[in-house]
Amino acid sequence: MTENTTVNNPWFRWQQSLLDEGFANMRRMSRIPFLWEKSQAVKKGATPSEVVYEEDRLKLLHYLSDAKPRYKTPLIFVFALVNRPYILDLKENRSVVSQFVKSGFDTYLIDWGAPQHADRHLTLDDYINGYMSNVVDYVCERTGAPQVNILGYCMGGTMSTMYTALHQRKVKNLMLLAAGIDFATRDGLLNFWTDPNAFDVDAFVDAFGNAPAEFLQATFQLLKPVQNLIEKPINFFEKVDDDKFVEDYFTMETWLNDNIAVPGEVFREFVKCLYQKNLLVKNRMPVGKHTVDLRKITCPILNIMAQADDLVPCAQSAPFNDLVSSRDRKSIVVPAGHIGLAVGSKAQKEAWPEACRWLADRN
Amino acid sequence: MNDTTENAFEKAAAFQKIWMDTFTRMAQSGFSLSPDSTPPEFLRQMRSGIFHALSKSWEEFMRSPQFTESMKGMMDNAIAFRKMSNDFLTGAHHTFQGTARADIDSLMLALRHLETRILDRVEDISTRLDQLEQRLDGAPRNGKASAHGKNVPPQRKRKTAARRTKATGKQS
Repeated sequence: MTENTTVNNPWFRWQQSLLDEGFANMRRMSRIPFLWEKSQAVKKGATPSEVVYEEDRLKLLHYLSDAKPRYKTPLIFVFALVNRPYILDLKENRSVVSQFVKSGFDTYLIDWGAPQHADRHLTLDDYINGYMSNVVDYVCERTGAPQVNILGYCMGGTMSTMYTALHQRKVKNLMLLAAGIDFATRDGLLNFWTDPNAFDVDAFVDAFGNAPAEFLQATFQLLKPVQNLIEKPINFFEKVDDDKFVEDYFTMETWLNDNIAVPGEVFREFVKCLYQKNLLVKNRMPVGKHTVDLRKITCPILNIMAQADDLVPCAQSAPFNDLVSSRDRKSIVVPAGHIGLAVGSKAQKEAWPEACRWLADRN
Repeated sequence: MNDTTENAFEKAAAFQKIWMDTFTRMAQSGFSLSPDSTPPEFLRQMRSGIFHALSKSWEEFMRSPQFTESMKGMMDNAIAFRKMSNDFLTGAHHTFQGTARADIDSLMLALRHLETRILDRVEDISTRLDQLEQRLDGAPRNGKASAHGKNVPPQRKRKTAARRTKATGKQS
């Protein structure tokens, strides 16, 4: 029997592959004792920053750069009230913040902080016309710029939209990242689950106060139960001997499990007025004693969406561009999921440089 | 057959359907494999097929009225349990003349109403002051809407409560 026929023999290949797999498993098992240490060594945030403004639990981070900002109008990142904002500055090569800082923008990020039980009565009005408005005023005062650029992510995008509609003169450019606007779509599971017949948000908030972090975490996990609860741990074990993969995995998992509660009244308003009544697209969304009218938005708009987003499907964000009065409107659809939109390699290589160029052209 | 029994049968049928669909899809994924594949590769492909089939079936199930109904039942139970424990703890605190969370909540709510009323009043006064300033400067007067604060961008001034800090060092 020649060497070639031995290699092509299926039995030989089977034996060889079983042996390889056996050795690979031993290699994987040998890495397990070191995983705990690696999971504890995860860093939160990559770009150097300083806290320049504080109000109650809110902290405003200013990102530092060796070079002077090239553009006069500062950029403010507005993150969601769910989870922590460091997903936007996760790692050196996976940071949306660093892309803008390196492009020469004077960049700020709002960290809302973790609400406690005493914050259960905070409303969207407090966040939008209170905290956010004060932050914008402070940044304008600090930089001497009359307006700011805003980038809102997820729920932060929806809040940024409301802020811009109410305070258009203070916003120069608005960028939205997977922001929920039109909640009539049934593409996402959350839209099903928050149906008034299935979910009594009033009873929930009255009983629990804030929407508990564990509840939100479980809901997000349940959006893709097979991927999150079965496939992910198996994939992790298969690649546990790849240091780069393990580091990325723990960085991501740290963020995913770093949940915070959402203030009860904000949760009530969000579910009732948006998910259940879809008032934002009807220009009837109440924020305090004011009503959000999307037609009042006239600034340039960049709407970035994720093709495979299970949390905020494209159909929820896409209608936004047709609801505003802006003439300069652009959409970018990235082939990624909700989080991949910020940290995914495709988004980092293509979408974010394009977003930086878009903003630079309008400064 | 009463409604409850019928409902239970419907739920069971829906649950049976997802498992039937899942197994059908799994079998299909098994048949699509090449006989030349080595065992680990074969198993990996089969596993991926199974997971794909499972996730598709679960996605369909989670959109079904049966799932939302059972979820509602679970949520209602959780809310009822929470309410019961809240009431029990409030009662226990009150028995020993202590302060319960419900008391603090009521106090917070009262403070919030007070704050809202004061802030609304301050906004109103600020609008009037702006108008007076404009009149004193000889600028044209705003319309009626402005007098009621409708043209003024909404803002909750909280600067007295704010703590502005200078650079507090680097964070990473």
